[in-house]
Order: sequence, then structure tokens, then C-alpha cells
Amino acid sequence: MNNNRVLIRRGARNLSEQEVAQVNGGTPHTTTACTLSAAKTLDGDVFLGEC
Amino acid sequence: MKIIILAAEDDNHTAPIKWALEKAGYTVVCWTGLGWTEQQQASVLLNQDEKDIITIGGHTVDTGDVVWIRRPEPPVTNPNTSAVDKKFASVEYRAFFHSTLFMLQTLPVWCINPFSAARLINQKPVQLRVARKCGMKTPATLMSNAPQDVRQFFSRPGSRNICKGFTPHIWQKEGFTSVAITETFELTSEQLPSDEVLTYAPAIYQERIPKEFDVRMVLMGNNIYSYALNNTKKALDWRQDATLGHVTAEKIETPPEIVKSVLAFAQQFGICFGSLDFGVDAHGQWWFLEINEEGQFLWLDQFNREARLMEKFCAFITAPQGSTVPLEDREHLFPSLQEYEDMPTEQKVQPIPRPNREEPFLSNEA
Repeated sequence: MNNNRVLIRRGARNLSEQEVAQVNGGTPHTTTACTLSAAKTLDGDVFLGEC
Repeated sequence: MKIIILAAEDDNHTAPIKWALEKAGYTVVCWTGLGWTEQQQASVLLNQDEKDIITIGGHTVDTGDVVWIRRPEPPVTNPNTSAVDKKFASVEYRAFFHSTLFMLQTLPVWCINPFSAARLINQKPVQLRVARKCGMKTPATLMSNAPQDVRQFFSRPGSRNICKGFTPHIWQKEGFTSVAITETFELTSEQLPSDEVLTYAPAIYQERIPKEFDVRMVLMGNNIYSYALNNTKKALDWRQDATLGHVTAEKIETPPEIVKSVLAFAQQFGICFGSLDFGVDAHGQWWFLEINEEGQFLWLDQFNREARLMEKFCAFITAPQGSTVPLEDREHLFPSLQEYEDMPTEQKVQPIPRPNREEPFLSNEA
């Protein structure tokens, strides 16, 4: 990886094919994992909207 | 009394909970957040006679209403706004949106949670400090973009440390399906990058707790529900493995001293609802890691069908504010998440298209 990337990116995990399938899945997820829903909103614990 | 949910109808918690509340006979309305369309418009009317009126999405906020500030989306400006006015309009929309949310907590309605409390408690250092003041054990933590301070933190004798971000983020390779997602990871002093890189983005550096297992706790008023998360893959961060079903959620008793501390913590911030994370070490000590006041919780019902957190939450927000009646006494009034999941797809809320915009949590990599 490019040495100029932020530290957090270096520690980011590449999702497996199965996980990517869930990321792009057609139904809203209810799990806590940080994923993109089909509506392209972030399904995670952290409320990123207007905080 | 009606229940106003500040979130899009297709939000993963809003959809099943709205359905469950309506099945039980309650009136529920949603407001995605401020926008230029009729469904997203809002007004705040301040009268001489103190009968102030807030209208959101065509719904008047009335005395006795419950307002669940679940996940309002960022304001959406009118695309026809003149190019030279877009920046001004955007700032105005944001200011009015915040004004509206803050106004709600001044009305005779029950906000879950009050917006000011939510904004404060979402600050990671604040929640750790207050947790410690309320008697909870917290790991040594440095939040910094100052290289020398980071290196000094990592030089503590015998320390093991982890690194995590303040917010989740996704990096997607352009033209590929591969995705990288932020995750907590262990980091040694030898692995620290150059000083220059440490200034690219602040991060959270934290003492690694030698935890035997994680606990996800859900707070609903004075009710506390704790679940031991046994991660079969023993990953440092259980969240991603939860996606794949590699986690089990077993209901456990919350130690009395933790109950006392958590309730004091919630009272200090003025919140009544939230999802808390703890790590439990080999000595049975609970370490407070973080709280997400609008964290996800329905996944616990998927991992443990006895949890019935959806029914409990419905019982919670339909009870009088501050009620001490056990939620279990009324949870039977509401259908379960399982019943929602078993419905045909076409009967569930379908994903709502969003306008194309640059999402702050998503980056494309070449």
C-alpha cells in the first residue's frame, strides 16, 4: 500500500466476497456492522447524519 | 399521542419498529430530515402567546408526542438553487435544521434522546471521561494528531495498544466490488508510520483490554439489557464478524455496580436510550469502551430470538416518560422482528432512492 495513506486505512479490513454481497444486498441490514445499505446509507453504530 | 421518528422510512430500525407500533394501534410518522420537498419541509412558529408550533414534514409536533431522533439525514437543498447561492443555501439549511432539532427538546414532548445530549455524548473523549467519573473502568486512551504524543503513548512499558477511527469509513476500488472498511486493529510502536502520516488524520489510540468477551448493552430508561458476544473467530472487533453470523449473543446479568454507574452516566448526559460496549476481562471486570446513543440493537434479536428488544423498545417509547413499569409487562403488545422478517419482501419498506451526493463516509480508490 502507498505509504502516504492515513493510518486508519492501513488497518482497514478488506471485506470478503460474502461480505461485499451483503454490502450490496437488496434488503436493509439490521446488524451492527458498518456497511452500506442498498439505499447507500451507512448502517453502523455511529450516527453520522447531523451530529 | 403520536410517535415521530426522525429517520427515513427505510432505515433498518425505523421500518420494522414503525410497523410493529402501527400493528399495536399507535400513530407513527416519519420525517427524514430537512429538505426542499414538501415531505421534508419544516416550520418553527413563535407566537406572542407562547403557543409555539413546530411542523415537520407536514406533521405538527403536539404536546405529549414522542420524538425518536433515530437518524435524520443531512439537509437537502433545492437543486434549482442558483449556483452562486448554493453555498449560502446549504449553510442556511443546516442552521435551520439544527435549530429545529434543538427546539424540539424545549417543547412538552419526549425526545429520545434530546439533541443537545446526543451531540455531547457522541464525543468519544467526553463519554470516556464521564464514564470514568461515574465509576466505570476505562482504558488509557490518546486521541491525537501530534506525532510526539502518539509515540510517547506507545512507549508506555509493557503496553499493548489498538488504533481506531472516530468514524466509520469505506474505501471502494473504482470499477471493482472490493471494499475496505475501517476496523479496530492492534498497533505496536514499531508499526507506527512516519510523523508526516500521523498528521494526515487524527486517530484514537487505546490500551488494549485483555478481554475475555465483549458485552453489548442496551439502555432503555432505567432498564438495562446486557448480552455477552462470543466471537467464534476471536477477532479484535466483533462488529464485522457479526455481519457474517460469527457472533453469539447470550443474555447475562449486569453487575449491580455497573447498573449504578450506567444509570448515573445516562443521567449526567440526559439520555434515556443508547447502546453501550464493554469488554470483560479474566477477572470479570467490565471495561467501558463506548456508547452510541443511536447504536444498532435489532441485530441482537436476530442473534438471540429471546432478546425481544424490538418489543421492549416499542414498550419503552409508548410508556409515559420515566415510567418504572417493567417493559416486559407490555412487550407482548407488539409483534416481533421475526414476524417482520417473515413477511413477503413486497410488504416491507423498500429502499428509497437518494439524490446523488458525495457521502462523507465513502471514498473511491484508483
